[in-house]
Amino acid sequence: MNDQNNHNSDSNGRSSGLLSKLTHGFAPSILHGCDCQPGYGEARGVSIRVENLVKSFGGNPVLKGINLEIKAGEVFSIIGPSGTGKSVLLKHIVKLEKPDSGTIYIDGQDIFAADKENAPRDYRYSMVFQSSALFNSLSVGENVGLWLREKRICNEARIRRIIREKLRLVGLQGKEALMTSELSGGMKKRVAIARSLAMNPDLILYDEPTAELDPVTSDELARVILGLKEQLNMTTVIVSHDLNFALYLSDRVAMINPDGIVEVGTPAEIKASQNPVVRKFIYTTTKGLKGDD
Amino acid sequence: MKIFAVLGKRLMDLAQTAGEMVGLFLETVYYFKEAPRNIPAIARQLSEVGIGTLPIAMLMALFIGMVLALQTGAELALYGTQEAIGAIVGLSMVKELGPVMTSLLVAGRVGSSMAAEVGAMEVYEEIDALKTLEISPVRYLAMPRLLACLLAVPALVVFTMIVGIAGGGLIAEINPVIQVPFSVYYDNMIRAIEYQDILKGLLKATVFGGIIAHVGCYVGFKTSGGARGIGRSTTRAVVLSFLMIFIANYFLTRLMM
Repeated sequence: MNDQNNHNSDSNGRSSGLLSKLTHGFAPSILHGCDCQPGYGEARGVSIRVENLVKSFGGNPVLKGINLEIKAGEVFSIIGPSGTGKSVLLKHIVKLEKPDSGTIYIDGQDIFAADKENAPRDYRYSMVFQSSALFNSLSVGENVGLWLREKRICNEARIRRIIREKLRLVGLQGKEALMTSELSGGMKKRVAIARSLAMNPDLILYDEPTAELDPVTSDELARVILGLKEQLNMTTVIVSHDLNFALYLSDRVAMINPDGIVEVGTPAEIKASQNPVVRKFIYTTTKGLKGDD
Repeated sequence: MKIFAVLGKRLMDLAQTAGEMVGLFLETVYYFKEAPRNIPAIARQLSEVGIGTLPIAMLMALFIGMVLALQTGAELALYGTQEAIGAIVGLSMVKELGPVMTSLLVAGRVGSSMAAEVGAMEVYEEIDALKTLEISPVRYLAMPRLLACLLAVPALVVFTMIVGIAGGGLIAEINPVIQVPFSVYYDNMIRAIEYQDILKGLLKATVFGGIIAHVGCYVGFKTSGGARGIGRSTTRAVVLSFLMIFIANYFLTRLMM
């Protein structure tokens, strides 16, 4: 970034405070003498605090007072059986759902507060959906560059460089011209990750990233996510029922069941947990492997 | 008592749907200001609605004009008044059949595909993905479609009017019962049709175009329930568009009389 840009930015290369909010998504880069908008720099991890989150659908309670704290910059997984509200919790964090009661704080800011309803965010988040949710009418490169082009974050030459760079990060260099229908399940997931990374998100969320993937592809995906953790400074939240995947790459893991969060700890703590709900989940997901012992 | 409860719920649902449709329409119109930076998307939709529909619309118009001339010409010939056929076919094509039949064709061909496409995006979380990318689905999906239909349907109707009238003229000329020369047919038609009639027909087409895009997008956004839901939405969009076109046609005709 040039001097002019640094003048308005904090140590992470992000413009701060009111200026950041005013320029978020609007300021044309040309005014700042840079080929990208101010604020489009390195990611900074954000902290998340979920407080007494309650959500019902048609009178059927799905989240019953969830409390959770996720530290800035950590890889945090939420594991548990299907139908326990893991994805619903994730959708609340990205404001695709509104809670019946309770709230979520991101970097100490109540994201559901009335004055935050339509206010520009001073952090960026992105979500990798279970179905990948790639746009079929667009090529791989167009999918990855969609946000950059729609928000006019950079000039076209820089956008193309960013697309190449993000695809390289997920091991798909040179695949820009492919259509999404030509991709395998694992490649689609990686393109969806590259699309999320194009935002330089402070917070990235994965909804069942290993769903419909074979164990080898799941392992490749885990290595991609671990590689991103080492290279980028962002908070990662993963929702999965794949215990092995979550324990392999997470700093901390939360176990959820229909009554709420039952245990939070490091992978080692989860493995050593004596909580019967956790023991049962670990036993049912690993009993096939133990059968030969 | 139960019947009142059911009736009440139906009315509430209807009011909610009407409110949502008005809300979506206003939001879509609000995003018209973003049209200049969405020209490629609008051009794609214009091509799909306009150029994609043009051949079949012209074929349809040709046969509508021909059958209209055949039916009325034969009747008029009984009384020796078949020279009026130019006015009858011309006015019918310009005021009613051109706008209505073209719009029904577009609703079946394009409205259904809009509902299916947007519905599939809703079901497969692509709309949610747009929201997390801070891209308004209404601006990205509904605005280009509405604008394209508002422009393309009247343009299509101009072609269907011309082709329908030409088809009628052809039958009037060659049918041994009618036998009205094309010059007579043409003069008769020109005397009967006023510029206002053409403008009214095009105004109707514009309104119908708006209905088709709006219904297609609204039904698409409300889709749920996987592949079956997408199928239901497709059918619903066509039926709802047809109904709204017929209802709007009556009121527009009444207003412009």
